[in-house]
Amino acid sequence: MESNNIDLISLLEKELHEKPQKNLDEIGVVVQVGDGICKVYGLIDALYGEIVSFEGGNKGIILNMHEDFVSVFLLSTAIPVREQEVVRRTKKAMQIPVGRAMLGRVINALGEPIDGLGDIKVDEMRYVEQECPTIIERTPIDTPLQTGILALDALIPVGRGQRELIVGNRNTGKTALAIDTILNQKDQNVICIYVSIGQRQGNLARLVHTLEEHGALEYTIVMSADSSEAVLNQYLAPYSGTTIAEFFMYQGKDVLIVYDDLMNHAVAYREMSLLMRRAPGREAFPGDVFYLHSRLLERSASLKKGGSLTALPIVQIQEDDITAYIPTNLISITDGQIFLDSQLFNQGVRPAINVELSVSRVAGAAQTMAVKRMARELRLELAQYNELLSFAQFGTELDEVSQRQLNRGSIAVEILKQGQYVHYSFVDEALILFALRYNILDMIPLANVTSFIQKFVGYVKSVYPDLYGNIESSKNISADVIEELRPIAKEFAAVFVAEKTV
Amino acid sequence: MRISQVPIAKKYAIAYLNVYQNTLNHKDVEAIFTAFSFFKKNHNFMHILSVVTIEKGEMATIFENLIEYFCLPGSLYKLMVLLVKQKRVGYLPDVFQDIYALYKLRNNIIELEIKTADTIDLHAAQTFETFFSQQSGYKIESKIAVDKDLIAGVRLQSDFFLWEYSIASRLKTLEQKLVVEG
Repeated sequence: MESNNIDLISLLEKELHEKPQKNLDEIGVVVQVGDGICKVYGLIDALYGEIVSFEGGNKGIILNMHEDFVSVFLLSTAIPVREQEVVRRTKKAMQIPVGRAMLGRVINALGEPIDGLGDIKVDEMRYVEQECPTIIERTPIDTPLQTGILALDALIPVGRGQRELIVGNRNTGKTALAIDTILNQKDQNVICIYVSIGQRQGNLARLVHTLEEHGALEYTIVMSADSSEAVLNQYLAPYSGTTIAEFFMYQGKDVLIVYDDLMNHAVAYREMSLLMRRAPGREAFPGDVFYLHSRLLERSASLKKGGSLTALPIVQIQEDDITAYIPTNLISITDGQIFLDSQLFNQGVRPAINVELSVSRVAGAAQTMAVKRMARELRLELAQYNELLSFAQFGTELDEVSQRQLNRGSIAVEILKQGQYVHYSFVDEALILFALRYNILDMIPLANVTSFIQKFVGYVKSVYPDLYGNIESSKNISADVIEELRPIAKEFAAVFVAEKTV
Repeated sequence: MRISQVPIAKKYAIAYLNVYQNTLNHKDVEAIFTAFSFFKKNHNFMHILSVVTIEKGEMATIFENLIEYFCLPGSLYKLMVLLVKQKRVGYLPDVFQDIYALYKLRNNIIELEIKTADTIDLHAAQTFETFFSQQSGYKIESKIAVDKDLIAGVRLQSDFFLWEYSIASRLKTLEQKLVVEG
């Protein structure tokens, strides 16, 4: 206690002996304040996006400039701002601290820790708004980002540096899909950043607990701008998250960032724009809402000198309507979308990925050769199955070929079902797809398909480790391996069926 | 004095100054400020001016009396008549405010408030004025006030610039540092 007093006195002495400043501070005066925004008269040479500090201790960002005043959004709603309060220029744009020590921590949009685990060591300060990598700096996406989810890795592969939108109604497993992808990055040398925008704190606490439980928090940074925070923080959160991601990317590391979700981000920006009296457009969003997201997502890239930033933005839609304003904007910005169907979800198909409406524009370029070879006809088979299924619903008598297609389709749907927190390696995925492609699964009753594929993968892994290792190291299934695998799979299936019959 | 937040008033003020600025002197502008202060304090007076039943002749007399009473420049009569004609006489105080503020800005003049914890002599005030003028590049019109809240020291503040060297500001800075650093 005594030492604290001495410290305080010395600090006070130091402060009082500080020499007067040589220059004048450029200031403005608050003339109107409300709803987290204030009008400031003065600040004549202030810049757009500049941070200003209030005499009462609050800070804000200039986001609108008029002839005689500027509109400043407040960074904190907890510190009061009074009319006639003096506002000083800082001559700096918004910066946040970044550093390796952020891994495993929960932070706010300003990069400050909010998990009660103490201060974070800062490596450097980086601007929140950065220019995206230029064309010269980029390289085509060719490395897969393994999600561990068969439906994605086989049909809608995501590459490192890609932007893949996750779109769906509420409660269709959007966040679960993103979390599963994060969990699967363990030992993959990928740093993950989860940005929560306008979500409930309870949900975020559960998510952090899940990450911790699965040992994923050590390579993950969770950024939170929950619904109770100032609207400016919700607006800043994705940019701040990307700034941290870029810090790692420019060090040559692979980074995955999840924005959950960008609809809340657009809504926060709409609120800000309406408060700034900018003209509302479609669905009351301002005219630059496209630029809001395009400048964010363009920062994702795969760099020539190494390092990538993969983005998984999430957007929630209403009643499966992907033609709404924000979802269509995001679909056009991103390199593909994963559409989660509430109907499939209710039918028990989980992850409820609608294969027909989902697409990856990078596709095969970012797919492991083993999976690519085995999944070549899967999309077509599923499309034919869905078409035939609608005919079959009318009770139409089907020929043998159609019946066979229906059976294969239902098996394909079955193997694509995957529980939460269950992840496959690419070799597992290749083996499962092999079993489907070479009709091994045709002899297995539909109800036992899931159990069969799990046992089959385990069997090959434990009894034929050389074969498994061969696929793993070459990342391919050669014709020789296929020939070797065929009798093994048939024999295993026969034993499996016999066991089930007994 | 700040420019009002009423864009229409500013337009009238700019138009007036574009035509009559060269005919105005410091005394005229101060008279405009006095009139503005009167309007600001006496809202009811503005309500009377807005009454539609007042005849043109009577309105003209009111304006003439206003000009005579506040020693306003005669050129303002035309502006007041124009505002009545365009049914914008309610903006008269804001227009006066903007004429005053814009005239000062166009002539590179800013108002400086010198606050000290104790009374200061004229020489000290002039030193502060010179310093502020050199730093800001504006001509200074200063007002001196005693502010015990400063504890000790001085605060020089205009609408656009601030310079402070006081115990109060040092304590405030220290407080904010301690809050941030925990």
